Amino acid sequence: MPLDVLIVDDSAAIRKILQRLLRQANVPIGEVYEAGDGLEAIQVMKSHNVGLVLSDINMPNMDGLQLLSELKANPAWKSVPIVMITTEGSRQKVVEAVNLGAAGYVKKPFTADQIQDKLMQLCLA
Amino acid sequence: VSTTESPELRHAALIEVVRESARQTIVTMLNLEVVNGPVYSEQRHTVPSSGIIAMVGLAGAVDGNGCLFMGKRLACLFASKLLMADYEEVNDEVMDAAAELCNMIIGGLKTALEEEKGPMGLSVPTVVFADNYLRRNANLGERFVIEFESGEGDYSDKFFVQVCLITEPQNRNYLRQLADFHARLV
Repeated sequence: MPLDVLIVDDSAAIRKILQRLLRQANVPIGEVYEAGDGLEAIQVMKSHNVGLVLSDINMPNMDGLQLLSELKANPAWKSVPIVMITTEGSRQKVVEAVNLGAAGYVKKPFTADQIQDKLMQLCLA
Repeated sequence: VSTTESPELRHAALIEVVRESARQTIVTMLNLEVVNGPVYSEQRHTVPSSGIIAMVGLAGAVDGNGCLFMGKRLACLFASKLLMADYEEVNDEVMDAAAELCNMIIGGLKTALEEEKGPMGLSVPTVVFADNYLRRNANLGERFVIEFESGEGDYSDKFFVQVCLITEPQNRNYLRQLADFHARLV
């Protein structure tokens, strides 16, 4: 069954790159939705059956860690894997994201292989 | 980036961090080679006065900003490589690509500074495309410009990363007072 994915990043460039990498990955991807911040992401989650979220951390209105907390606190979305893709490389941020329930953490700049390997891991899990 | 080293060593370490971050960003995201150029102290005419400038602010344990300067043609090449599409003129996507590259380069510097000094934040990037502009930082803290060269085939051009870091408490207080003053005016 194809996986519907939500990409959350305030950069349209990054959303476009991730869209392309998802389409090239050797995993069945269905719809790919986009949001520019955490608040928009929650609206998308309410109206679509998203199976995977790829989210930046630094965003206006609601950042990626707040989004992660919101999604993990909601029983309907608790099991949806969320991968953080971010320039935030400090150990503190990685630990915070993992403690909040992130399924993975990829630091920008990233290679196509890093993203596609993470997708494979999540799809096989 | 250790603060216990001498100022000269610390300066050299900062430069290496920015060079490595720029190299990683350009090689990983664009699959282009980068050649390191000289380092300049920031002067009025060190960086180009036309083309694209992407800026991100740093705040927290250290205040400051980082900028990426490049000409129109190199900006279009970088965007074409990043987004896998052809760009010959500067548009929103080219500017967005410049913003993201700046964000990644200065993000690498921020991560290195955080290891030593504690949590910091990055602002949302600002990008300007203009001719004949003049840009300056307040004359506070450590300021330097690093030159790089990149390109593809027969074409190559210089780009620059400029960093301004303010660590002295009196200068950080001055900036906060200035920001409060402007906030009251608004």
